[in-house]
Amino acid sequence: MSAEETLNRRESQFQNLIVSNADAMVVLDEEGVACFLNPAAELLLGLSAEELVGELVGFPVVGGETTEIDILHTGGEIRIAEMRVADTEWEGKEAYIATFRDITERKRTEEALARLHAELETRVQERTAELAQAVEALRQEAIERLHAEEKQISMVLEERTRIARDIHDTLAQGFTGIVIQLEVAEDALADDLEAARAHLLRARELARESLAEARRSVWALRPAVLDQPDLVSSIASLVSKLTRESPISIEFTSHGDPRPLLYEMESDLLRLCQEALTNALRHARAANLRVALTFDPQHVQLCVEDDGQGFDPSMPSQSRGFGFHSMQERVERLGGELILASEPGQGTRLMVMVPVPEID
Amino acid sequence: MNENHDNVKGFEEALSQSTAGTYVLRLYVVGTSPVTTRAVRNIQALCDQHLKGRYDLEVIDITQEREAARKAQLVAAPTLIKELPPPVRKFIGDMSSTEVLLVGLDLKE
Repeated sequence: MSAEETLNRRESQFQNLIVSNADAMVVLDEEGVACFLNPAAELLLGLSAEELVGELVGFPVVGGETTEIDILHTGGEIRIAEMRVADTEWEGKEAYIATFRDITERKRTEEALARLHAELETRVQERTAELAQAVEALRQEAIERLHAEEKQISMVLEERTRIARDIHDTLAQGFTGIVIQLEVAEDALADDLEAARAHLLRARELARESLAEARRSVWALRPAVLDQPDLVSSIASLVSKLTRESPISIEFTSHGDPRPLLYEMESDLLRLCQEALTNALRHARAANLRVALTFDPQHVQLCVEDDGQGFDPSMPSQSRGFGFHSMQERVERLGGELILASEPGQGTRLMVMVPVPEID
Repeated sequence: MNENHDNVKGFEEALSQSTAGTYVLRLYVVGTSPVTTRAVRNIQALCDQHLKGRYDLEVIDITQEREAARKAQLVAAPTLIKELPPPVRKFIGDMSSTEVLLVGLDLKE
């Protein structure tokens, strides 16, 4: 085989290698004129080998191993390719072989991923901002609550100071007075009975005054003083709540001079009122309910009546069903009296009468 | 007459000298892809360094001027065309190899 034959054979092997390559390949001479292109390159550029060979394509200028390049398909589409350049020999002359790998799909995927990433980033930032806001709101709430608690504590302390002053100013003085009167009475017992009696009377008077003072102080101690509503407004708000929740009309009236009672007593009376009303609403089939709270100097009286179907109180099974027993116990604990009046068809009336200490 | 002739001659000489040295370069790119930015920056730097005061560089966005790309018979972008001085030369790629370009533009042996 001659040298020329060997050369030709090698060149045709080289061509076959290029032709069968999946990447687009263009062989360019020293000026950048196309010498050869494989079918993949024809497809990528939209040009046949006959059209491009002999044309000035351009001398490849790549700094590194590869560069991205935009391929202008004759159909107008622009695709992105990775260009790689290698020295070669073509028909005995120095030449370059430029390889183009189509990376359009990869780039598009990368771009879509980047967009998605940015979107996620934005969402995370939004979420973070929302959380920060929520945390700040919680912090503010905690601060407000702390302030409210501090205020309440300072109110309690103020109240204690007031009571201490009260006890000092009135009770201590009262007791001192009583002791003095009793001592003077004791001295007078031997020779002046009249005077002794007068001092004893004065001592009793002072004792009564001090007792009233002591009671007044105890009432002032009720939690109500801090932020609880009094019995009249508690019953009024209970009645208006029940009225809102049921179609039955409930009327509430208060008589006499309402005054503060011991906290336990107020809370028991409120509970009794609530039970009586609930019973009436559940069982009485009434159209109208009336609640009356009456204060007189020695008692407080609560009356709940309805115009419903009534029942026979002498039948224990019926009255017991209405929680009558527990109500009665409650009233007895308060030292009061409970009267239940009802007969079939005549409605029901529940009366509670509780003694309260007299106030000056 | 002589003086006038001399003037004209001098003007023609000056003109030929000035145009002979001027490089007319066109860089065809696609939009503002990373490779576009890189190519523009590379060419600008090369011109500033080696052709200061004697070049005319025009950057043409193919997406805006399809017709220009068709006329220039481009197959890829970025493509740099040296219109003047002759011969016309074309380069494709990111223009990042200054050495190759300098040789290609006859600015270096």
